[in-house]
Amino acid sequence: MNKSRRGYAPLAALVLVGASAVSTAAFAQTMPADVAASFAKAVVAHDWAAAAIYVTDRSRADFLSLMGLGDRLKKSRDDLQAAMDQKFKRQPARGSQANAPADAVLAAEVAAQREISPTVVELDMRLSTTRPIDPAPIVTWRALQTAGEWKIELPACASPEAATPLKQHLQAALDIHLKVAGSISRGEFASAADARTALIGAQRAAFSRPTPMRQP
Amino acid sequence: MRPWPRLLQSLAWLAGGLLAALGPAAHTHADTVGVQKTIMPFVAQSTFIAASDFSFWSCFPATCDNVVFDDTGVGPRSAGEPALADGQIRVGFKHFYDSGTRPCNCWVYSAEAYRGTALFRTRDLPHHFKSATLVLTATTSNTSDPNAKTPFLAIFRQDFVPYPLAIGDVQFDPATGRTTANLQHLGLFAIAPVDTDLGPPFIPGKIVETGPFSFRLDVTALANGWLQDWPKRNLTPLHGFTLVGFDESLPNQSNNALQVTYAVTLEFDIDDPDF
Repeated sequence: MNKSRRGYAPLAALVLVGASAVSTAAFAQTMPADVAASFAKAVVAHDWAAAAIYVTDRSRADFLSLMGLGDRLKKSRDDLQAAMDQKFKRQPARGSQANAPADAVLAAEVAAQREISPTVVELDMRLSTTRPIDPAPIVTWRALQTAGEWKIELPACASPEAATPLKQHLQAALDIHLKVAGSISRGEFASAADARTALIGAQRAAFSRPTPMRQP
Repeated sequence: MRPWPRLLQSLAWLAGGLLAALGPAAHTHADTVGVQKTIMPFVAQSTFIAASDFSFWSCFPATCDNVVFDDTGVGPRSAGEPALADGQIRVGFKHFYDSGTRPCNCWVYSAEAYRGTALFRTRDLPHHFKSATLVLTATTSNTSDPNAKTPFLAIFRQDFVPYPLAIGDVQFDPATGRTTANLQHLGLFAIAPVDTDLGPPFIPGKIVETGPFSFRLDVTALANGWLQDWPKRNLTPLHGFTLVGFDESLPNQSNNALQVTYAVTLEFDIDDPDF
Protein backbone atom coordinates (compact mmCIF):
# COMPACT_ATOMS: atom_id res chain seq x y z
CA MET A 1 0.00 0.00 0.00
CA ASN A 2 1.06 3.52 -0.67
CA LYS A 3 3.74 2.47 -3.10
CA SER A 4 4.42 5.15 -5.63
CA ARG A 5 2.91 4.42 -9.00
CA ARG A 6 4.36 7.40 -10.76
CA GLY A 7 5.09 6.73 -14.37
CA TYR A 8 2.39 4.09 -14.61
CA ALA A 9 0.06 6.22 -16.70
CA PRO A 10 1.21 4.72 -20.03
CA LEU A 11 0.89 1.28 -18.56
CA ALA A 12 -2.55 2.21 -17.32
CA ALA A 13 -3.54 3.15 -20.82
CA LEU A 14 -2.46 -0.25 -22.08
CA VAL A 15 -4.35 -1.94 -19.31
CA LEU A 16 -7.41 0.06 -20.19
CA VAL A 17 -7.28 -1.03 -23.80
CA GLY A 18 -7.13 -4.62 -22.74
CA ALA A 19 -9.62 -4.25 -20.00
CA SER A 20 -12.20 -2.55 -22.13
CA ALA A 21 -12.53 -5.69 -24.22
CA VAL A 22 -13.68 -7.74 -21.28
CA SER A 23 -15.27 -5.07 -19.15
CA THR A 24 -18.67 -5.11 -20.82
CA ALA A 25 -19.31 -8.69 -19.85
CA ALA A 26 -17.69 -8.31 -16.47
CA PHE A 27 -19.77 -5.31 -15.40
CA ALA A 28 -23.05 -6.02 -17.09
CA GLN A 29 -24.48 -7.91 -14.16
CA THR A 30 -22.74 -6.04 -11.32
CA MET A 31 -24.48 -3.63 -8.98
CA PRO A 32 -23.32 -0.10 -8.24
CA ALA A 33 -22.18 -1.07 -4.75
CA ASP A 34 -20.06 -3.89 -6.16
CA VAL A 35 -18.37 -1.56 -8.61
CA ALA A 36 -17.76 1.00 -5.85
CA ALA A 37 -16.26 -1.69 -3.63
CA SER A 38 -13.94 -2.88 -6.40
CA PHE A 39 -12.93 0.67 -7.24
CA ALA A 40 -12.29 1.45 -3.57
CA LYS A 41 -10.16 -1.65 -3.18
CA ALA A 42 -7.96 -0.63 -6.12
CA VAL A 43 -7.70 2.94 -4.86
CA VAL A 44 -6.73 1.87 -1.35
CA ALA A 45 -4.09 -0.35 -2.92
CA HIS A 46 -2.85 2.76 -4.73
CA ASP A 47 -3.31 0.92 -8.03
CA TRP A 48 -4.49 3.75 -10.24
CA ALA A 49 -4.43 1.66 -13.39
CA ALA A 50 -6.75 -0.94 -11.91
CA ALA A 51 -8.94 1.74 -10.38
CA ALA A 52 -9.23 3.58 -13.68
CA ILE A 53 -11.06 0.63 -15.18
CA TYR A 54 -14.00 1.38 -12.93
CA VAL A 55 -14.38 5.08 -13.65
CA THR A 56 -16.45 6.55 -16.43
CA ASP A 57 -14.81 6.93 -19.80
CA ARG A 58 -15.03 10.69 -19.87
CA SER A 59 -13.50 11.15 -16.42
CA ARG A 60 -10.71 8.61 -16.76
CA ALA A 61 -8.07 11.01 -17.98
CA ASP A 62 -8.89 13.51 -15.24
CA PHE A 63 -8.83 10.75 -12.65
CA LEU A 64 -5.37 9.59 -13.65
CA SER A 65 -4.13 13.15 -13.88
CA LEU A 66 -5.41 14.03 -10.41
CA MET A 67 -3.99 10.89 -8.86
CA GLY A 68 -0.62 11.53 -10.48
CA LEU A 69 -0.55 15.11 -9.26
CA GLY A 70 -1.54 13.97 -5.78
CA ASP A 71 1.34 11.50 -5.71
CA ARG A 72 3.80 14.14 -6.85
CA LEU A 73 2.53 16.64 -4.29
CA LYS A 74 2.78 14.10 -1.50
CA LYS A 75 6.33 13.27 -2.52
CA SER A 76 7.23 16.96 -2.70
CA ARG A 77 5.81 17.50 0.80
CA ASP A 78 7.79 14.56 2.16
CA ASP A 79 10.94 15.72 0.37
CA LEU A 80 10.54 19.26 1.65
CA GLN A 81 10.11 18.05 5.22
CA ALA A 82 13.19 15.88 4.90
CA ALA A 83 15.18 18.80 3.46
CA MET A 84 14.13 21.00 6.38
CA ASP A 85 15.02 18.33 8.89
CA GLN A 86 18.41 17.85 7.30
CA LYS A 87 19.23 21.50 6.69
CA PHE A 88 18.20 22.70 10.10
CA LYS A 89 19.21 19.58 12.01
CA ARG A 90 15.75 19.00 13.33
CA GLN A 91 14.30 15.79 14.57
CA PRO A 92 11.49 14.72 12.27
CA ALA A 93 8.13 15.62 13.72
CA ARG A 94 6.40 12.67 15.29
CA GLY A 95 2.82 12.30 16.24
CA SER A 96 1.88 15.81 15.26
CA GLN A 97 -0.84 16.92 12.95
CA ALA A 98 1.82 18.11 10.60
CA ASN A 99 1.73 14.57 9.29
CA ALA A 100 -2.01 14.57 8.87
CA PRO A 101 -2.03 14.96 5.08
CA ALA A 102 0.21 11.92 4.80
CA ASP A 103 -2.27 9.75 6.64
CA ALA A 104 -3.79 7.01 4.56
CA VAL A 105 -7.17 5.46 3.96
CA LEU A 106 -7.17 1.79 4.90
CA ALA A 107 -10.57 0.89 3.55
CA ALA A 108 -13.67 2.37 1.98
CA GLU A 109 -17.02 0.64 2.24
CA VAL A 110 -20.49 1.47 1.01
CA ALA A 111 -22.41 2.97 3.92
CA ALA A 112 -25.52 3.99 1.99
CA GLN A 113 -26.80 4.34 -1.52
CA ARG A 114 -29.58 6.37 -3.09
CA GLU A 115 -31.12 5.88 -6.47
CA ILE A 116 -31.25 9.23 -8.21
CA SER A 117 -32.57 7.73 -11.43
CA PRO A 118 -32.54 4.26 -13.03
CA THR A 119 -29.05 5.01 -14.34
CA VAL A 120 -27.63 7.14 -11.52
CA VAL A 121 -26.95 6.00 -7.96
CA GLU A 122 -25.28 8.00 -5.20
CA LEU A 123 -23.00 6.06 -2.88
CA ASP A 124 -21.86 7.20 0.55
CA MET A 125 -18.48 5.63 1.21
CA ARG A 126 -17.34 5.31 4.83
CA LEU A 127 -13.58 5.61 5.17
CA SER A 128 -11.32 3.89 7.65
CA THR A 129 -8.14 5.89 8.14
CA THR A 130 -4.77 5.15 9.71
CA ARG A 131 -5.57 7.73 12.36
CA PRO A 132 -9.09 6.89 13.49
CA ILE A 133 -11.57 9.73 13.08
CA ASP A 134 -14.88 9.77 14.91
CA PRO A 135 -17.26 9.90 13.18
CA ALA A 136 -15.67 8.15 10.25
CA PRO A 137 -15.37 10.39 7.18
CA ILE A 138 -17.96 9.88 4.49
CA VAL A 139 -17.40 10.75 0.84
CA THR A 140 -20.06 10.57 -1.81
CA TRP A 141 -19.46 9.05 -5.21
CA ARG A 142 -21.82 8.45 -8.08
CA ALA A 143 -22.33 5.32 -10.09
CA LEU A 144 -23.53 5.86 -13.65
CA GLN A 145 -24.90 3.16 -15.89
CA THR A 146 -23.82 3.55 -19.47
CA ALA A 147 -24.12 0.86 -22.12
CA GLY A 148 -25.19 -1.59 -19.46
CA GLU A 149 -22.17 -0.97 -17.26
CA TRP A 150 -21.99 0.74 -13.90
CA LYS A 151 -19.02 3.07 -13.61
CA ILE A 152 -17.86 5.39 -10.87
CA GLU A 153 -17.86 9.13 -11.29
CA LEU A 154 -15.92 11.06 -8.65
CA PRO A 155 -17.11 14.55 -7.80
CA ALA A 156 -13.71 15.95 -8.69
CA CYS A 157 -13.80 14.27 -12.08
CA ALA A 158 -17.44 14.72 -13.00
CA SER A 159 -16.56 17.26 -15.64
CA PRO A 160 -13.54 19.11 -16.95
CA GLU A 161 -14.90 22.20 -15.23
CA ALA A 162 -14.81 20.36 -11.90
CA ALA A 163 -11.39 18.85 -12.39
CA THR A 164 -9.58 21.85 -13.78
CA PRO A 165 -9.43 24.06 -10.66
CA LEU A 166 -8.33 21.18 -8.45
CA LYS A 167 -5.64 20.20 -10.92
CA GLN A 168 -4.48 23.80 -11.13
CA HIS A 169 -4.30 24.10 -7.35
CA LEU A 170 -2.45 20.83 -6.96
CA GLN A 171 0.02 21.92 -9.62
CA ALA A 172 0.44 25.30 -7.92
CA ALA A 173 0.99 23.64 -4.54
CA LEU A 174 3.52 21.32 -6.16
CA ASP A 175 5.37 24.25 -7.74
CA ILE A 176 5.46 26.13 -4.43
CA HIS A 177 6.88 23.14 -2.59
CA LEU A 178 9.57 22.63 -5.22
CA LYS A 179 10.46 26.33 -5.13
CA VAL A 180 10.76 26.42 -1.34
CA ALA A 181 12.80 23.22 -1.38
CA GLY A 182 15.16 24.88 -3.84
CA SER A 183 15.47 27.91 -1.60
CA ILE A 184 16.29 25.68 1.36
CA SER A 185 19.04 23.92 -0.56
CA ARG A 186 20.49 27.29 -1.60
CA GLY A 187 20.58 28.38 2.03
CA GLU A 188 18.11 31.21 1.59
CA PHE A 189 16.39 30.61 4.93
CA ALA A 190 17.93 31.16 8.33
CA SER A 191 15.66 28.75 10.11
CA ALA A 192 13.06 26.08 9.58
CA ALA A 193 10.47 28.54 10.83
CA ASP A 194 11.42 30.98 8.09
CA ALA A 195 11.11 28.27 5.47
CA ARG A 196 7.75 27.17 6.74
CA THR A 197 6.52 30.76 6.90
CA ALA A 198 7.53 31.23 3.27
CA LEU A 199 5.81 27.99 2.30
CA ILE A 200 2.56 28.77 4.05
CA GLY A 201 2.58 32.38 2.98
CA ALA A 202 3.04 31.44 -0.67
CA GLN A 203 0.24 28.88 -0.50
CA ARG A 204 -2.14 31.24 1.19
CA ALA A 205 -1.41 33.89 -1.40
CA ALA A 206 -2.00 31.41 -4.22
CA PHE A 207 -5.12 29.83 -2.75
CA SER A 208 -6.86 32.85 -1.34
CA ARG A 209 -10.50 31.88 -1.56
CA PRO A 210 -13.70 33.56 -0.43
CA THR A 211 -15.32 32.03 2.61
CA PRO A 212 -18.42 30.11 1.58
CA MET A 213 -21.41 29.94 3.87
CA ARG A 214 -21.00 26.33 4.69
CA GLN A 215 -20.77 24.53 7.97
CA PRO A 216 -17.70 22.29 8.07
CA MET B 1 34.52 68.90 69.79
CA ARG B 2 31.48 68.67 72.05
CA PRO B 3 29.66 65.31 71.93
CA TRP B 4 26.23 66.78 71.11
CA PRO B 5 26.82 67.74 67.49
CA ARG B 6 28.59 64.45 66.94
CA LEU B 7 25.50 62.58 68.23
CA LEU B 8 23.26 64.59 65.91
CA GLN B 9 25.54 63.81 63.02
CA SER B 10 25.44 60.11 63.85
CA LEU B 11 21.65 60.16 64.11
CA ALA B 12 21.41 61.88 60.77
CA TRP B 13 23.62 59.25 59.15
CA LEU B 14 21.55 56.50 60.73
CA ALA B 15 18.33 58.08 59.54
CA GLY B 16 19.75 58.38 56.08
CA GLY B 17 20.77 54.76 56.11
CA LEU B 18 17.35 53.64 57.24
CA LEU B 19 15.68 55.70 54.55
CA ALA B 20 17.99 54.21 51.99
CA ALA B 21 17.13 50.72 53.13
CA LEU B 22 13.41 51.06 53.65
CA GLY B 23 12.16 54.02 51.74
CA PRO B 24 11.87 55.21 48.19
CA ALA B 25 15.53 56.13 48.19
CA ALA B 26 16.13 52.54 47.18
CA HIS B 27 16.34 54.12 43.73
CA THR B 28 19.85 54.79 42.65
CA HIS B 29 19.03 58.07 40.98
CA ALA B 30 16.74 60.98 41.63
CA ASP B 31 13.83 61.75 39.33
CA THR B 32 13.99 65.24 37.95
CA VAL B 33 11.28 67.87 37.67
CA GLY B 34 9.95 68.54 34.19
CA VAL B 35 11.22 65.37 32.60
CA GLN B 36 9.66 62.13 31.64
CA LYS B 37 10.53 58.73 32.95
CA THR B 38 9.71 55.66 30.91
CA ILE B 39 9.71 52.21 32.36
CA MET B 40 9.52 48.92 30.52
CA PRO B 41 7.36 46.00 31.59
CA PHE B 42 9.10 43.60 33.91
CA VAL B 43 6.82 40.93 32.50
CA ALA B 44 5.29 41.05 29.03
CA GLN B 45 3.50 37.91 28.07
CA SER B 46 0.89 36.89 25.58
CA THR B 47 -1.37 33.92 26.02
CA PHE B 48 -3.61 32.49 23.37
CA ILE B 49 -6.47 30.11 22.97
CA ALA B 50 -6.89 28.30 19.69
CA ALA B 51 -8.99 25.74 17.90
CA SER B 52 -8.54 23.91 14.65
CA ASP B 53 -9.94 21.04 12.67
CA PHE B 54 -9.76 19.69 9.17
CA SER B 55 -11.26 17.22 6.76
CA PHE B 56 -8.58 15.94 4.50
CA TRP B 57 -10.64 13.10 3.13
CA SER B 58 -13.54 15.02 1.63
CA CYS B 59 -11.99 14.66 -1.80
CA PHE B 60 -10.91 11.05 -1.50
CA PRO B 61 -9.30 9.55 -3.47
CA ALA B 62 -8.08 12.85 -4.91
CA THR B 63 -5.49 14.71 -2.82
CA CYS B 64 -6.55 17.83 -1.00
CA ASP B 65 -4.81 20.99 -2.04
CA ASN B 66 -5.18 22.86 1.24
CA VAL B 67 -2.40 24.71 2.92
CA VAL B 68 -0.66 22.15 5.06
CA PHE B 69 -0.66 22.47 8.80
CA ASP B 70 2.35 23.87 10.54
CA ASP B 71 4.42 22.08 13.14
CA THR B 72 2.25 23.20 16.00
CA GLY B 73 -0.73 21.37 14.64
CA VAL B 74 -2.77 24.49 15.21
CA GLY B 75 -2.88 25.41 11.59
CA PRO B 76 -1.19 27.95 9.37
CA ARG B 77 -1.58 30.65 11.96
CA SER B 78 2.05 31.56 12.32
CA ALA B 79 2.66 32.57 8.74
CA GLY B 80 4.10 36.04 8.58
CA GLU B 81 3.92 36.61 12.31
CA PRO B 82 7.16 37.92 13.76
CA ALA B 83 8.28 36.66 17.12
CA LEU B 84 7.52 38.89 20.07
CA ALA B 85 10.43 41.00 21.24
CA ASP B 86 11.07 42.02 24.83
CA GLY B 87 8.37 44.30 26.13
CA GLN B 88 5.94 43.35 23.40
CA ILE B 89 2.52 41.80 23.74
CA ARG B 90 0.00 40.53 21.20
CA VAL B 91 -3.73 41.01 21.47
CA GLY B 92 -6.62 40.15 19.22
CA PHE B 93 -7.85 37.33 17.04
CA LYS B 94 -7.07 35.70 13.75
CA HIS B 95 -9.31 33.24 11.98
CA PHE B 96 -8.42 31.08 9.02
CA TYR B 97 -10.80 28.95 7.05
CA ASP B 98 -10.16 27.21 3.76
CA SER B 99 -12.96 25.22 2.20
CA GLY B 100 -10.68 23.61 -0.37
CA THR B 101 -11.56 23.42 -4.01
CA ARG B 102 -15.04 22.57 -5.13
CA PRO B 103 -16.76 20.25 -5.79
CA CYS B 104 -15.22 18.10 -3.06
CA ASN B 105 -14.18 20.50 -0.36
CA CYS B 106 -11.41 19.54 1.98
CA TRP B 107 -12.02 22.14 4.65
CA VAL B 108 -9.54 23.26 7.25
CA TYR B 109 -9.84 25.94 9.85
CA SER B 110 -7.83 27.42 12.64
CA ALA B 111 -8.75 30.23 14.99
CA GLU B 112 -6.78 31.93 17.70
CA ALA B 113 -7.27 34.73 20.18
CA TYR B 114 -4.47 36.44 22.07
CA ARG B 115 -4.51 38.27 25.38
CA GLY B 116 -1.57 40.44 26.25
CA THR B 117 -0.37 41.21 29.76
CA ALA B 118 2.23 43.81 30.74
CA LEU B 119 3.40 44.05 34.35
CA PHE B 120 5.59 46.74 35.89
CA ARG B 121 7.64 46.61 39.06
CA THR B 122 6.52 48.86 41.85
CA ARG B 123 10.12 49.63 42.68
CA ASP B 124 10.62 51.05 39.19
CA LEU B 125 7.95 53.71 39.68
CA PRO B 126 9.03 57.29 40.31
CA HIS B 127 7.94 58.52 43.72
CA HIS B 128 6.42 61.76 42.66
CA PHE B 129 4.75 62.22 39.33
CA LYS B 130 2.19 64.45 37.76
CA SER B 131 0.82 61.90 35.36
CA ALA B 132 1.24 58.30 34.34
CA THR B 133 0.52 57.16 30.81
CA LEU B 134 0.24 53.65 29.45
CA VAL B 135 1.75 53.83 25.97
CA LEU B 136 0.65 51.21 23.48
CA THR B 137 2.65 51.45 20.27
CA ALA B 138 1.50 49.13 17.51
CA THR B 139 4.51 47.50 15.88
CA THR B 140 2.58 45.15 13.59
CA SER B 141 -1.08 44.77 12.82
CA ASN B 142 -3.21 42.29 10.94
CA THR B 143 -6.79 43.25 10.29
CA SER B 144 -9.50 42.36 7.83
CA ASP B 145 -11.59 45.35 8.89
CA PRO B 146 -10.35 48.62 7.41
CA ASN B 147 -12.50 50.54 9.88
CA ALA B 148 -11.16 48.82 12.99
CA LYS B 149 -9.74 51.21 15.55
CA THR B 150 -8.60 48.97 18.36
CA PRO B 151 -7.98 45.25 18.73
CA PHE B 152 -8.91 45.11 22.39
CA LEU B 153 -12.34 45.04 23.90
CA ALA B 154 -11.30 45.89 27.43
CA ILE B 155 -8.34 46.42 29.72
CA PHE B 156 -8.10 44.77 33.11
CA ARG B 157 -5.88 45.44 36.10
CA GLN B 158 -3.39 42.87 37.19
CA ASP B 159 -1.79 42.78 40.63
CA PHE B 160 0.64 40.02 41.32
CA VAL B 161 1.75 38.40 44.52
CA PRO B 162 4.84 36.36 43.92
CA TYR B 163 5.63 33.25 45.82
CA PRO B 164 9.12 32.65 47.13
CA LEU B 165 11.20 29.87 45.69
CA ALA B 166 12.55 27.47 48.28
CA ILE B 167 14.62 24.36 48.59
CA GLY B 168 14.67 21.99 51.50
CA ASP B 169 14.22 18.53 52.83
CA VAL B 170 10.84 16.92 52.87
CA GLN B 171 10.18 13.94 55.11
CA PHE B 172 7.07 11.83 54.97
CA ASP B 173 6.10 9.69 57.95
CA PRO B 174 3.90 6.83 56.73
CA ALA B 175 2.84 6.01 60.28
CA THR B 176 1.26 9.37 60.89
CA GLY B 177 0.79 10.50 57.29
CA ARG B 178 2.54 13.69 58.25
CA THR B 179 4.85 15.52 55.90
CA THR B 180 7.54 17.71 57.40
CA ALA B 181 9.31 20.22 55.27
CA ASN B 182 12.41 22.11 56.22
CA LEU B 183 12.47 24.86 53.66
CA GLN B 184 15.13 27.38 52.97
CA HIS B 185 14.00 30.40 51.01
CA LEU B 186 16.29 31.39 48.21
CA GLY B 187 15.42 35.04 48.06
CA LEU B 188 14.10 34.51 44.54
CA PHE B 189 10.55 34.95 43.45
CA ALA B 190 8.47 33.16 40.90
CA ILE B 191 5.74 35.04 39.13
CA ALA B 192 2.27 33.71 39.70
CA PRO B 193 0.34 32.74 36.57
CA VAL B 194 -1.73 35.40 34.90
CA ASP B 195 -4.92 35.94 36.81
CA THR B 196 -7.77 34.68 34.69
CA ASP B 197 -10.40 36.08 37.05
CA LEU B 198 -10.18 39.51 35.56
CA GLY B 199 -12.84 41.33 37.55
CA PRO B 200 -14.36 44.56 36.27
CA PRO B 201 -12.68 46.32 33.34
CA PHE B 202 -10.30 49.13 34.10
CA ILE B 203 -11.49 52.51 32.88
CA PRO B 204 -8.55 54.73 32.02
CA GLY B 205 -8.67 58.50 32.02
CA LYS B 206 -8.00 60.37 28.82
CA ILE B 207 -7.32 58.20 25.78
CA VAL B 208 -5.34 59.63 22.88
CA GLU B 209 -4.97 57.81 19.58
CA THR B 210 -1.45 58.45 18.36
CA GLY B 211 -1.55 56.36 15.20
CA PRO B 212 -3.20 53.28 13.73
CA PHE B 213 -4.01 51.07 16.72
CA SER B 214 -1.61 53.09 18.90
CA PHE B 215 -2.79 54.79 22.04
CA ARG B 216 -1.77 56.76 25.11
CA LEU B 217 -3.99 56.02 28.09
CA ASP B 218 -4.02 58.09 31.24
CA VAL B 219 -3.47 55.72 34.16
CA THR B 220 -2.41 58.33 36.71
CA ALA B 221 -4.99 57.45 39.35
CA LEU B 222 -4.22 53.77 39.17
CA ALA B 223 -0.44 54.26 39.25
CA ASN B 224 -0.85 56.56 42.26
CA GLY B 225 -2.63 53.71 43.96
CA TRP B 226 0.33 51.48 43.26
CA LEU B 227 2.60 54.06 44.81
CA GLN B 228 0.41 54.27 47.90
CA ASP B 229 0.95 50.55 48.15
CA TRP B 230 4.70 51.13 48.34
CA PRO B 231 5.15 49.63 51.82
CA LYS B 232 3.88 46.37 50.38
CA ARG B 233 6.20 46.53 47.43
CA ASN B 234 7.76 43.22 48.38
CA LEU B 235 4.38 41.57 48.71
CA THR B 236 2.93 42.89 45.52
CA PRO B 237 5.80 44.07 43.43
CA LEU B 238 4.07 43.83 40.07
CA HIS B 239 1.15 45.78 38.74
CA GLY B 240 -0.10 46.08 35.23
CA PHE B 241 -2.70 45.41 32.63
CA THR B 242 -4.23 42.63 30.60
CA LEU B 243 -5.65 43.53 27.21
CA VAL B 244 -8.44 41.27 26.03
CA GLY B 245 -9.31 41.15 22.34
CA PHE B 246 -12.68 41.66 20.72
CA ASP B 247 -13.43 38.12 19.67
CA GLU B 248 -12.50 35.00 21.58
CA SER B 249 -15.21 32.84 20.01
CA LEU B 250 -12.88 30.78 17.75
CA PRO B 251 -15.34 30.35 14.87
CA ASN B 252 -14.85 27.56 12.35
CA GLN B 253 -15.66 29.34 9.12
CA SER B 254 -14.22 32.80 9.30
CA ASN B 255 -11.34 34.52 7.61
CA ASN B 256 -11.30 37.63 9.75
CA ALA B 257 -8.45 39.08 11.74
CA LEU B 258 -7.90 41.93 14.13
CA GLN B 259 -4.59 41.35 15.83
CA VAL B 260 -1.95 43.83 16.90
CA THR B 261 1.49 43.50 18.43
CA TYR B 262 2.26 46.25 20.90
CA ALA B 263 5.40 47.66 22.41
CA VAL B 264 4.26 48.64 25.89
CA THR B 265 5.76 51.24 28.19
CA LEU B 266 4.66 53.30 31.16
CA GLU B 267 5.52 56.99 30.95
CA PHE B 268 5.61 59.38 33.87
CA ASP B 269 5.73 63.16 33.90
CA ILE B 270 7.79 63.98 36.98
CA ASP B 271 6.59 66.88 39.08
CA ASP B 272 8.84 66.77 42.10
CA PRO B 273 12.38 65.65 42.68
CA ASP B 274 13.15 62.72 44.89
CA PHE B 275 14.59 63.43 48.27
